[in-house]
Amino acid sequence: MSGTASNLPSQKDAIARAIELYADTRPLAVADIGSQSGWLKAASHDARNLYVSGPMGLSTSIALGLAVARPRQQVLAIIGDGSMAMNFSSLLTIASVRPGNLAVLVLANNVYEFTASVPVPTRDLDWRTIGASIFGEANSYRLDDLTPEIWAKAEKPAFVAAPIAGSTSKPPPLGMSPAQIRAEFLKAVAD
Amino acid sequence: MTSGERLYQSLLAAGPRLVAGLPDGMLAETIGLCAASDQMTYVDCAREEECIGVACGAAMAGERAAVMVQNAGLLNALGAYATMAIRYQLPIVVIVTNRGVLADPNGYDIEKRDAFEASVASLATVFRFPFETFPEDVIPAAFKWAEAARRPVVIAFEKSLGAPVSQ
Repeated sequence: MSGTASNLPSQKDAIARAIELYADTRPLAVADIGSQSGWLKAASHDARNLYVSGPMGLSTSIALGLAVARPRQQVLAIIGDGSMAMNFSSLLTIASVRPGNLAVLVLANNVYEFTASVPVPTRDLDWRTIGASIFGEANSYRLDDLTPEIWAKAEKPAFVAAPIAGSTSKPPPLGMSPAQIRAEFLKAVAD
Repeated sequence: MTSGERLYQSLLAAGPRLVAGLPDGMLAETIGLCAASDQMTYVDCAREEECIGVACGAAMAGERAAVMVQNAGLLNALGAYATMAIRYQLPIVVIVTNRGVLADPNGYDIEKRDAFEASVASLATVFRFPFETFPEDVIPAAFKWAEAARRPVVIAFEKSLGAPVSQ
């Protein structure tokens, strides 16, 4: 993992930067439960965001289903390193289906964010290398190395590793019910 | 027509955008037909919890989506079933083979049935059918029910006594 704690971006800034890579094409963004959903809403609230409250790690599977259902739209799964470990096999399934409109952003701070201290079991792993071993070398990136120009030409499915700073701050509450999230997202996807 | 072929035809009649599943002996033929079909996408997941997630993703886009797993597989995925499918009111159809019933007494399946009855049947809406003689419109009916109820539904197929042993 590159960078030191002092120069790594916050989770909110890393999410904002990933969204900005799409330039004028806003992706359907599927954020995992907890801090990813909270920070996505704080960084870039949009009806095309899907804030997930399911089990940790399910966002990548939900994003896969969405990518298959909406092949002409870009889909971005946003997940933490602890959550990714909990649904690691979903990367294998995505690699098998190979949807050309799906990217997985893994935000790695080496701890379970909501505990602010308890380490994840993947703390010594290089996520970009793991992504390369599953999706292919040409499909795995570090967020720091990407620009909108590079991203526009990037092969999908893509894996993006984003080392981020650990934080003790919590995102603001979502303030949305599951029914409201579903209704707004369904309308945005249909538009 | 075999039960596996009839289940595939019932799925086709419902028109799901995708089906996500993992194998069970009773589902193998249907899975093969779904995987070969050009009228739906079959996603062969590595874990049953993924199947619920994939189906929920399609349902979030307003598309019909189904899951096919064994009863032990749905047990593995109950958290996702509750916190995504039920919580977000997603009308997915989960097709489950309920192994370990009276006509299906493999020793390694008995506790699966017990756990299914103790957990899934108390959490989810379950409609049960004999695998040898289920009605052809069962899957379209399941989607219509789920969409009217705004919640997921489990269709449990079970072997029945007196039926020919073909699976």
